[in-house]
Amino acid sequence: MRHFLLWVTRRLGVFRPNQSSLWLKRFWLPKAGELAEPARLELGSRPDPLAWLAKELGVIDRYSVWQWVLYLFIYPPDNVTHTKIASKSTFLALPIQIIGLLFSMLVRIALAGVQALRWFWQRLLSFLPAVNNEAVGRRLEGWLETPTFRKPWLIWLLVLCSIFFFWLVVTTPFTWLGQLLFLVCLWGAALFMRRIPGNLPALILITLSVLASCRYGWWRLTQTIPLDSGWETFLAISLLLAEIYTWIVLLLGYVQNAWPLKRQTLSLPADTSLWPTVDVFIPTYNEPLKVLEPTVLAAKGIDWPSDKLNIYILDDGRRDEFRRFAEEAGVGYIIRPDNLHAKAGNLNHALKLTHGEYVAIFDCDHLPTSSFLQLTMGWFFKDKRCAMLQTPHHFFSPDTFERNLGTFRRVPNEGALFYGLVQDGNDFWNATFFCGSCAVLRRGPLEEVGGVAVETVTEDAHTALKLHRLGYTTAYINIPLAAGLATESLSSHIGQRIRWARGMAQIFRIDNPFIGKGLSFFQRICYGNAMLHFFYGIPRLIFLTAPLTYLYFEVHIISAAAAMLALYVLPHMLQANLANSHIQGPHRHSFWAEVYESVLAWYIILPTAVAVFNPGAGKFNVTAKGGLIEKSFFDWTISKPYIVLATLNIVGLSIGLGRLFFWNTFETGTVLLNLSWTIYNLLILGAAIGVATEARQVRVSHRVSANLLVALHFKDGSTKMCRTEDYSMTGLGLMLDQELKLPVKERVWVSLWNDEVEFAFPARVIASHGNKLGVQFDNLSIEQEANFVQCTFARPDAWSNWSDEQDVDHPLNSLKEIAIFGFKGYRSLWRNLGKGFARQHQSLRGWLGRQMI
Amino acid sequence: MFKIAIVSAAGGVGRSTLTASLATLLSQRKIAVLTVDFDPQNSLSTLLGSDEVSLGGLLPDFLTGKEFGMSALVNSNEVACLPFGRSNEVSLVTFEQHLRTEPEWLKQCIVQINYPPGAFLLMDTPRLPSPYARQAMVAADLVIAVLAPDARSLALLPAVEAALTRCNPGCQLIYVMNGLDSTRALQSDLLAQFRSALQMRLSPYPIHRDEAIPRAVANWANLQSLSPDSLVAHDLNGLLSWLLAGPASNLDGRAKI
Repeated sequence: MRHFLLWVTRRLGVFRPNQSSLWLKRFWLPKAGELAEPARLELGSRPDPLAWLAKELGVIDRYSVWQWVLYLFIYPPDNVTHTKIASKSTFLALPIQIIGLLFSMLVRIALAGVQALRWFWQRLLSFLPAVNNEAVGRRLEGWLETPTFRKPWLIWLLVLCSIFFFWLVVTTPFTWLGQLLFLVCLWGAALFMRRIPGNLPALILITLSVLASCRYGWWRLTQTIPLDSGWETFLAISLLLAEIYTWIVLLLGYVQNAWPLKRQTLSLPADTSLWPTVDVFIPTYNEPLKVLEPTVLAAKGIDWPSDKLNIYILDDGRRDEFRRFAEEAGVGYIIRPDNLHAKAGNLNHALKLTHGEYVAIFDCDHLPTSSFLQLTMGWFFKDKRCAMLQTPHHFFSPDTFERNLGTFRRVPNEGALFYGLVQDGNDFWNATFFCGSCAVLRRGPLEEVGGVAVETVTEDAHTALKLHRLGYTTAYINIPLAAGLATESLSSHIGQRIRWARGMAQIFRIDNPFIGKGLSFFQRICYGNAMLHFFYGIPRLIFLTAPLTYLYFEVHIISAAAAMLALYVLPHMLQANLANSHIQGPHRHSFWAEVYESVLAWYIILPTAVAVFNPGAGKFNVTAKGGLIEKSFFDWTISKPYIVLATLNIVGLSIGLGRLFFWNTFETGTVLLNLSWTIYNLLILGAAIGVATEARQVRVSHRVSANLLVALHFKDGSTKMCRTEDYSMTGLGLMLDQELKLPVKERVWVSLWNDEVEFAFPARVIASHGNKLGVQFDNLSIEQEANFVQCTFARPDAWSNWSDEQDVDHPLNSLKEIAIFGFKGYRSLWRNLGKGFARQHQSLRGWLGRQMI
Repeated sequence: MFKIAIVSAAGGVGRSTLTASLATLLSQRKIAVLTVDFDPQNSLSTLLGSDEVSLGGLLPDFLTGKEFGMSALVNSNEVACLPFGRSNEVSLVTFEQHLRTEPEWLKQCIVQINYPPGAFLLMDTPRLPSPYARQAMVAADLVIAVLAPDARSLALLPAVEAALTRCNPGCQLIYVMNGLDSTRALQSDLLAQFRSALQMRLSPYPIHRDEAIPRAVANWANLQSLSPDSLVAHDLNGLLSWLLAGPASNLDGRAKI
């Protein structure tokens, strides 16, 4: 410890730590001579415009930002005296007003610069011919269809040429100017390409990104690994491994999502006697009845011949209440003596007792729409080898990110990427995973693989893997045909993701998709990527702390000049961002992946590691849903890792500022690079802290905003048409054309329509403001509830326009938004810190008071 | 001209009210409309806003030998209405005798009316069986049978179709539910039964029972301007749009507009 402290102080330039005057001197009166001799890098004998400019302006130390500012904007040019004034003290001597004035001037100048650039850009664009991006996209798609590209020899020739040029581009070393040109060219091409919709431009962007990333990777591997001291090498290799991991996942992801299939629905034969029998399983364990009830009622309304549709509640909680409800609703009720293998065991037990040709599975909070089977079953008729068809998991309540950051229906949520893009991408390679709910399985193949897999905690993906190994196909239809509740708190969200991560790691260990029989190369890639994806914990933590190694200890874990590193890493990051923004745009906004991952990173490290080393350990945890958070609160337990990381980064930032201005002025570039990395990390961590501020969630049943036609029937026999603002299982929010004042508790009837059929429900007014009206249902019978579900949650088009109002992805806007969330996160942390202290203070006073008595 | 007869097998199902409401709505959509009250009750003009029971009308005109349609009234909504006119037992017997001997009397009278092409003619009738209703059905391009959401209407369902096949076999027949109270489970069940029995011939827009209609009549006001957001206004609009897009779209009279 003592040695370490001594080392730190030496590094800081205080050679006798017990002498306080030295500390004072070190931090308050820095003198250039006492610091380490700056080792300046000269750019050879090339005429340096910077040096010339510095000479002309009279800048003495041209590595000091302050001097540049002073000589550029403060000292008049004729006053240039080459005296060695300590410029910092001059600056500090200026009155505060002038500093303010200067600052505002600087801001003005910067803004004017941005304006000028924008104007220039617009002018430039106006010279170029206008491009109809849609048309270009269509034409590109057309090229693919031309038979010219179908000749095998041509394809092989192209492949060989491509490999050669690819090798050339990746491995040729450039000077900084060359690399800069490379960056600019690639970036320009990508900026042009990203405007064109379609799959081919996406592939081109992917190619550019792969080029840039491989080039960066090659350079990084061959030129930037410091091999001098063990300590540095260790850190350097860690960062390198983290980078290799992200590089692999990036490439695998590109392959996986190269050509999203976007499967359409198929119609069924007109003769309903040909339609197969379907068992609907609704497994439940500890969820309350009010969560299960709408699901069962919605399932009962599925549009399918009633003699060919059997619904079963699989109650692992063995509750009488549920048995009674099943009787009342007229659905099957299956229990078993034990809870072995949790959900998978529950499903397998029910499989033994039922006989339908197909099995549809819904989690107990996923309400199917009435068209679910009609829109999905068609593919089983077409493809006889099809063993499973998955539809997206759609959530009508905000998940913890959406609620705590306020991004519901505006920014695509965490699941949107998987169900919007990845599954469609998988589908192209015949590698759609089973996701445990909202899916139909063919009974035969399912029994052939021994029912739902029980070896891992993600039984769904594992079952699909087993089906694929036997050569069965799976399908994905990206139309939300069922909807449910998202996890209600950050802790339960993390719990769920831990389960997924653990399960995926278990499969990776015991049934690795890269080895074993029966899978195609691309299926292996899809499964492999899905599993590797969950190992992001350690790499993410490394990225969140990597710049600190320099800022704290001056350890150069990347042995390269800052400018060169920037020139290599920028194309890699820019291209990857642009490519992903094009592919994932509607499903994942830029930079949000970092937030989602950073929140979970710490928590999934241990489970994945345990699962890899001991796949049998750990138990199945059920994800709690449908709860309420009575009071806003800050989740101190969950947010601990983010707070620790953020604190480390803040300290790093302040040390970094010191390095920038005082201690490491000889390598400003390196400091700046690390500082910007730290600031970026801090923003992401701030957003993660913001997620830990649990916003209040008072409604027991979630409201779904929708614009449905409603008729109000009043006691006096008059009526009024209006529209819903939102609906829930317990009531409606209505909007009328005119103001209407109704007494609270007034009895009314509300009519809703399911297709053309009208259903009226008794209700009471609970709120009436202006033209807004809130009504609550009055003791609906089970039949009325079923009708209500059919009019609302189970409408065939209930979720089809869900993301229409979503913002479009603009990478810069997205970054800005995350930055704002980051700031808000720190603000919330600060406030809650205050509250926490106040509470402790109070309890201390109370304790003291009791002691006095 | 597109001629619609509004008939029903059961009484008191709101034929006249429906006729008046549809006529007002048609006129609001800038479609010329003439209503003929072919019901001795002589109540249509009152429902269309006449402040006293009309004395003149088609029966007095017939008896005095005047030209058909001379005593038509036009209200402020520009709905033309030819009332039945004051009647007594004797005159009715004579008239009905005449109608029995000449089943196409009304049809011929209507042909003589000089009315813009594309206009609508709505004929209100007494409940079936009746010589008046038969005359109207013979003259009509489309027959609207009005149903009430009760067992009586359900039992009498075949009667309208039987009557129509007897007098005007080629004529199109559609059914409209009137006076539905959807808050009553029984009525909703009956509606479902009507729907399964009649399928596409039943209008998807049942007309609800609504205080807005008697209120509009009592205030001599237009339903659509007095309570535009009432359920019944919505129903009528729906019904008319459905009529114009479906049953009334492929007929000669409409095609000319």
